[in-house]
Amino acid sequence: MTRIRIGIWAIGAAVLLGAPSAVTAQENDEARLEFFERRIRPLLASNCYNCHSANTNSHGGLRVDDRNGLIQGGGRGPAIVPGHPETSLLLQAVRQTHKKVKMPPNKKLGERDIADLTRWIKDGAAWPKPIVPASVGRSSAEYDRLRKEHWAWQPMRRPQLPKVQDTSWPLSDVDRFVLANLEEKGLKPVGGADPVTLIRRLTFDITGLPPTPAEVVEFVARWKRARPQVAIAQLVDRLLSSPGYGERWGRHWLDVARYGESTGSARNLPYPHAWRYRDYVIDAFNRDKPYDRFICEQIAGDLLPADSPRQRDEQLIATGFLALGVRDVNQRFKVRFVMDNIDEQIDTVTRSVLALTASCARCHNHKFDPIPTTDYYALAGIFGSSDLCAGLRNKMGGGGMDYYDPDKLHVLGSGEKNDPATGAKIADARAALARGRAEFNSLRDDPKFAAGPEREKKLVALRQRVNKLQNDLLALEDPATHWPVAYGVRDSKIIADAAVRIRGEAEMLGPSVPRGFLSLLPVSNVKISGKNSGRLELAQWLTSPQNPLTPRVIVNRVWKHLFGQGIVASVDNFGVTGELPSHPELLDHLATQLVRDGWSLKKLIRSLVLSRAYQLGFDAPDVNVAADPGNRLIWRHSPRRLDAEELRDAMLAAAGALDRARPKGSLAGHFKVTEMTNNGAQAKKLEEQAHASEHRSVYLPLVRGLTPRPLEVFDFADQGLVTGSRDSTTVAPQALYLLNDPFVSRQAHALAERVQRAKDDDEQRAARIYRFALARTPTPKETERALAYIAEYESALRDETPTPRAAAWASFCHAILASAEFRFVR
Amino acid sequence: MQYLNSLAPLASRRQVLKSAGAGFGYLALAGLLGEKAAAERRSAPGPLTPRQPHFPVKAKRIIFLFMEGAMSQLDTFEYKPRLQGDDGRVAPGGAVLTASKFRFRRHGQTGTWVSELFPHVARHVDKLCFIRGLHTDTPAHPQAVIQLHTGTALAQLTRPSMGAWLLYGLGTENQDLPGYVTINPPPNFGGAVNFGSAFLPAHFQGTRINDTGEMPNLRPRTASPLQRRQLELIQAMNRDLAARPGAPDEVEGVIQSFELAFRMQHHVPDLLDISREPRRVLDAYGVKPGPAGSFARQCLMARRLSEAGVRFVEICQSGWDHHNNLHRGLISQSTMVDQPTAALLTDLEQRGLLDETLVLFGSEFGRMPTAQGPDGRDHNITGYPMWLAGAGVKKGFSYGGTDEYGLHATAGRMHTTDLHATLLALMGLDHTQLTYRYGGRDFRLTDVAGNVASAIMA
Repeated sequence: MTRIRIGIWAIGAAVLLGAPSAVTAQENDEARLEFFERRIRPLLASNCYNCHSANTNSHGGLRVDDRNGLIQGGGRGPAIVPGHPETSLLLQAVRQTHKKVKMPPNKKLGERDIADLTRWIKDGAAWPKPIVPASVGRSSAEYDRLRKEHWAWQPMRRPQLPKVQDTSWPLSDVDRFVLANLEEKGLKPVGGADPVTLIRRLTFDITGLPPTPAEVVEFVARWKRARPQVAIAQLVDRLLSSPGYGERWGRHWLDVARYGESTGSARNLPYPHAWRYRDYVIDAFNRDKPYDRFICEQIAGDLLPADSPRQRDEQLIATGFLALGVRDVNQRFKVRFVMDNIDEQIDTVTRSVLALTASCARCHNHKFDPIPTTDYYALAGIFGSSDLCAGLRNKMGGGGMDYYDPDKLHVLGSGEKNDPATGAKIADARAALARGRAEFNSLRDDPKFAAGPEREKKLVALRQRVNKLQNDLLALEDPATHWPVAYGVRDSKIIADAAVRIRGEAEMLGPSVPRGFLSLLPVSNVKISGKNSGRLELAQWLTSPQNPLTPRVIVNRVWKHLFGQGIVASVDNFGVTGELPSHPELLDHLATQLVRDGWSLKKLIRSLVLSRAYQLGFDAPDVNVAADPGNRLIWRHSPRRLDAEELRDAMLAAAGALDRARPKGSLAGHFKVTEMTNNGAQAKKLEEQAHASEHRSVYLPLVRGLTPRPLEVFDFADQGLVTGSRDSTTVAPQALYLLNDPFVSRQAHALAERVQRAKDDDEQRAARIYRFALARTPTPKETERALAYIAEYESALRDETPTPRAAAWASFCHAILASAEFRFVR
Repeated sequence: MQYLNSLAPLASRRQVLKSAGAGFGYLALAGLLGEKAAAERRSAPGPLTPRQPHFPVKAKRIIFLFMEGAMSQLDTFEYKPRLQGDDGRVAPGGAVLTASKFRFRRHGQTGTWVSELFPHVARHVDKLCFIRGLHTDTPAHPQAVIQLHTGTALAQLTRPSMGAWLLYGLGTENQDLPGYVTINPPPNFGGAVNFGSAFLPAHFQGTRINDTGEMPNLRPRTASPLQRRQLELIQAMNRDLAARPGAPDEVEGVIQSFELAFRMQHHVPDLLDISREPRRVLDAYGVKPGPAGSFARQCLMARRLSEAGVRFVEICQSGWDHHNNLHRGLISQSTMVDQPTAALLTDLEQRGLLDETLVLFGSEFGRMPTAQGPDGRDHNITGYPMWLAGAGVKKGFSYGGTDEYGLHATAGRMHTTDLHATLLALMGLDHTQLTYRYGGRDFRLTDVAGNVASAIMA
């Protein structure tokens, strides 16, 4: 159980009751609280709440309806320093001795009020303590039971291989588990898939792309020449080593990492450097970075040793995982901004790596899983001791570059920040700005300069010049102007445990909890020292050999992408409300195998696709459908719809237009960090550029709320939440997109042109279209139908266009791209 | 592109097409021959063809005004004098009761209590039918929202949404429009599950539209007859695929989605263009641009869609999850919802549509009579209300209720499943008969439960 430090909290007072001096202290406390309630709270409420309270406003970021709000203060720093009235800004303001701040506006408090405030601050600014619910930090019998019993966090066991009757069927250990289950239920799996089906399935599943006609021909020839399994293994090795592998499987991780290139939320600000994290993920998959290392870098890459500046940069970029979430920069109170960001990080880390919903424990003990709220704040201390470097600060009602904080960035490259020429330029720019300001102020304050339009015009011009000078200076000081930068996290200057927040309210501090991890996992070999945030230890804890969840969760995610549904169907929730595994022993077999294989995901994928279970055909005999309609037992290969990226990439590939090179950066990479609107010029331009792009879909710009249409219409991942499993819908807007979107029409024309160039006859031409788009040749009936359509369409257009035949072929290609067969992989 | 302007040249090629054996079926002809064939099409059997209900009823359509996040009933439609009197007292269980800070007043002939947050809707209380004894299973939004929309959140299997069941049971009146439209649905809490068709055929799932009435790609780029021809080729290929053994289940849905898309592009743009409404109508709803006018625009679009025959329209106002900032939050939320809701009721009534339209208003659950923080209420799943209006329900009626603090449903208790059974009954469907066989068993929206609250029926 997590240890709790008890400060001067309710329980502490009871312990102290015995000592006489303590009785006096307690009496004093009571008297001070009474004084606060009788004199101070009403005074603050009637004079200040209108502009400085949680329920009304927060001018200057200050709230006075909360002690921590006063101590933390607003933009001008702490409003009170308990025990020190002379340094308390609040008193200077109400005494109206401060140069600028005179409060309340247009009024002066009476002498007695000011004396009361002074006395209250001098006596320590007493404020009633929040009542800590009795449940905080308490374990329960139900939690103890769940810790012992729920399957997901029990230690992994390498299970024995089950016995099967049909020993000729299994090609691998995976198959023995699958077949044993089928035999137990009396179900017979269907036969294997034909080679054309199989190469299309494998190429899409591993690279997200269709096979080229040449690749199909070669594979079928090898299949016939050699043993099929040899041909398949060669194909799989080729696919796994192609860059397309990282682009597809990296994208699966980007779904889980809720990747986006803007803050989303109330004010949508771009993350122009987010693409570096995207490229990091793709490269990590292509290089088969061990999964445990991949996780460690994303949680604590900045704290890991690096052999080279390049490795250092890569590890800094990896921490972008913790930075690129939805952020509400318009949050009024910094403490809430901070606590909300911590919550987002806890949610992302626990759901992505552990498939746990730990952020439910922010306000109360988790209702279903044994995650007490103290565990949540143990994690919160880790993230609270880390600075979020998303280039942002919070501000209510800001404009322009107000939200941009260039100090909150990772600077990459040589790290040489003291270019003397730049330093001189910055000094010049500072001086220029100071002169501009002085000029503006002197004119504004000049009593001889008469009011009127002339004065206004001059002041506006000067104000604009000051703004420009300010932006010039900002640009010079911005590291992003001089060096490559990335988002992420780094350890804070102040390392501290977090206090439990009563009911999750950021300002309601309860007892403090030592930094640590979730107690439901049986990991005992990792401890956090006092000196750093604890992120490095968190990374070690997540990837510890004693942690059974991390390998189970990733193995299940991989399985889901190859077999259509996870062994645990709720891929993002392994908790008590999640689904039970359909093949629990198989899950542990794969998880232990992953760890033994050095956490290589390529090896895992290879072993799965080389199983008989993966290579099954798609037939659906009635008896099997009746017994197991959801195909949970894997008696066939379930067909699936291409996801949004595959569909767009497949159209570009069929058209011969796909640009396989990686674009430099992102189309959103040059955006200024100012608010974006969904209907502004910037958004429109981005949409047009995305529309024109012929790169793979993984490289399209992903500004939240501005998802490119071909992705949005086909169930793209939610960019705000960990998404291990996308929806797959079939609705009219998809049909409208395929019928009417200019992108589709462009690819159709390109495909038609591609086959026009060849010196084929019409039959061969139609066959080539089928091969490019569907990886197969048409049946005679299909050819006949195609030619009839071309003839029909052409004659209908004869008087309308000079090139009716070309239009007819384009229309035919369009129909093929829009067909269901193009959209499904079996 | 300037292709064909006249239907005649293609229509005359009817025999050619048939003899060419190119698979151009009667759907193509319907497009070519215009109205007559369109009428034939409407009478032809298909998944979305209107079907007779199990028993005759007045209601033909539903409009569901979904208050996502759980609106505080104790500050709006649920007046509890005892709670008002016991403000600040400790309730059984230790939490502190908190009275509503909003003034309640009796309204209409029925003297129904409504708070000052809903002055416009209050004028309609005599036609509202309150169900006040609702309860549900899970005090968390994701599960409760999914349960409200699909009947259950805890099943091993995702279930079809209630709109999908309704479409499955009744088809839809206007074959040129989607039968089920959801405007501005929450992107989370199950997302598309809440308007999905799950194991029901995919053409029963809802069509999503945003709150400015935009549906991209509605404009065809080819002349209509030519596009019809192209579509028929696509559909012929799709039918070939569907006929092959082991075809993906979704192919039928793809076929339907193309048919619907083709018709939608002719009808939907006009329908969603609320700027065509007279000024006084726009003002009555309080239509304005931006988020503040979102719900008003949705209400007006809902009326237009419903009037055009869309079977089930859901609109959504999010942001009722007031764990804190209850006071100001309720004011800003109700300001956006009250006037348009009332205008929708008036408008439906004036057009004679309220007699055949069922309006449902409410949240996934309610909130507690006790305080959460200085200015908030936590979730309450044990007793909360919704209201209905229009076809088939008693006017100025109240069914069921909660204890004196509004915590637990004590009379006329209705589980979410009972609500579903009752809604289906109001639409003329026996929830025990509306079944779909999947995986060797018959599924229902109400699974193995559900009691119809016949007391509320007119």
